[in-house]
Amino acid sequence: MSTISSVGGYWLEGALRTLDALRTGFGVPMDDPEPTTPSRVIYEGGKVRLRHYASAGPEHKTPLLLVYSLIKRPFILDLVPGRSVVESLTRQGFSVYVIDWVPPAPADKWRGFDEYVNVDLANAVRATQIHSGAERVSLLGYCFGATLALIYSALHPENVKNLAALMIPLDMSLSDLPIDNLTKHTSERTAELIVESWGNAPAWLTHAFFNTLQPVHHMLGKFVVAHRSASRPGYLETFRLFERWLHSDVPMAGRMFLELHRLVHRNSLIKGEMTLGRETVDLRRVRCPVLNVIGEEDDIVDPRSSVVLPDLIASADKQNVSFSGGHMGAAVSADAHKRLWPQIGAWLGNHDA
Amino acid sequence: MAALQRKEGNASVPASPARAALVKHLADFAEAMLVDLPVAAARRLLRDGGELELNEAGWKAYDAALLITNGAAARILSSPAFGALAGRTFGMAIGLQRLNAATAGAVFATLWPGVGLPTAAEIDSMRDELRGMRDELRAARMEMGVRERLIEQQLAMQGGILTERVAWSEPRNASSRSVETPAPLAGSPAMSAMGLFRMPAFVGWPIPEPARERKRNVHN
Repeated sequence: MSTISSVGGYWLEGALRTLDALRTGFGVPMDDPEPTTPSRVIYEGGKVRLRHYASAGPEHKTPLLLVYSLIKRPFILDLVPGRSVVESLTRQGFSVYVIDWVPPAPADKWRGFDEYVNVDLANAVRATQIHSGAERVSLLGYCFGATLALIYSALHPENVKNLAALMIPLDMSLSDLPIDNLTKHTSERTAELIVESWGNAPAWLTHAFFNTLQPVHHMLGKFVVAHRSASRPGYLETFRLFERWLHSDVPMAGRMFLELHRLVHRNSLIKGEMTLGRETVDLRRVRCPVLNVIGEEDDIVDPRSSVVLPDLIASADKQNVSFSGGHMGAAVSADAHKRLWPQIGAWLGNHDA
Repeated sequence: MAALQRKEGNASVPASPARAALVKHLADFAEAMLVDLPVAAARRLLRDGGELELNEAGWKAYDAALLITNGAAARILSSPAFGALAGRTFGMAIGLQRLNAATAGAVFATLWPGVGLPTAAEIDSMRDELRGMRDELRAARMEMGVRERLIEQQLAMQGGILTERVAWSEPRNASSRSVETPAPLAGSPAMSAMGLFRMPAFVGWPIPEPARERKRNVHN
């Protein structure tokens, strides 16, 4: 009986969280939780707020710019002490900059890849260069943020010292995973209707879409896990913060949503057919050292979608690293913080000179 | 969780062997339901085993059932037939939502005036008008307040000047009036509240004498 009431309690808490997120429009007006690592906003413009986290200890020469995905808030990268990507990297001597994407307002529906990469991301890189005094920066992209970082590296290779891509969706021709299957069967007209109806792709739509991919987990499984792990020190705190992040969906700018839909359907990035402004994105222009981290149990980005990266770029120094975890495991799992991030830090440190 | 492995070049990462996993989960579930749970329950009845064993068997069955359900859901969601159906349904739902919004707008726009009710647009415009009127009222109130304060200030200043004039016109007594004595400008409580102490008195622009003015006009 106590199990049922305990799981029921967590379930109710989750339901209230979802209702609250629906009421407040998901990630737009919701506040981020208290950050683990202190930061300072050094630049704000367009849809970018650039946060700087000073390194703890001797500093590497090249600053590291983290590019997170556009669909949720980036506080997952600095969740709790001991499970914070930013904390781990600053402790390893990196001056870390994080792009905190500002959620698009209805008036921002015109923003597409060109504005996000050639304006916002380019400005963030420029601000990082000015603030750090470094000529080139290392980019670390996560999920869709990695795709944006890769496109930037292809268009502005002169500014990128190293590129680390985590769980990057690249080859869109695969459709084994539920996410790929459902995306493939959403027609262009449907995507246009979404944009015509709401201007931007609404946050609740993204939330509902991702919840649909694992219905049993989101309806029951995670609450049972919370009940069974409640006695583990710090588990519930991390669970609640992670849940808060899960509900931090933000809208996607209308044009960006349409362009992303086209990119997925035409697989144009790896075919060399994607254009931003007047320029075609040629991935062979990426010549910097590249580290490609793949989640073997990733159910959001098919590992086979990411693994092709080294074949598409012209870098001499490139390598795939597989990590036995899921999509978000790389950011929050204890194992990732014990093994993966020190390894990523070591790779970046070795490529600092 | 396994240690990090480096993969060279385009070494393919194998897709999860879903079928093998499903078979394993089914076997686990069957074992838990048909062996572990009955044995644990029987032991508990015979007071041979404890609550813990039964709990563990229950959780084992739950875990296996959850994995089977997750696997089944993933298989359904990954099937092209379901994808096509979901895609079409979603497209239709969005299309219907758009159509519904457009039709409702068109139908009710003509229906409401017919039965003497205002349309949403009219209510909106009334709201805007009301909002505008509220703003105007707020602005007028503020202006009134400012005017009142100005009048009070002016009165206070005039009172101060009068007091000063009276003070200066009185027979001077060197011992009673020292140089350090402040000018009695800040006599009014309103002025004190506004912090208008020892401000120079402005008595208005000098009015030209009417006779001189007239004379000048005559000569011009």
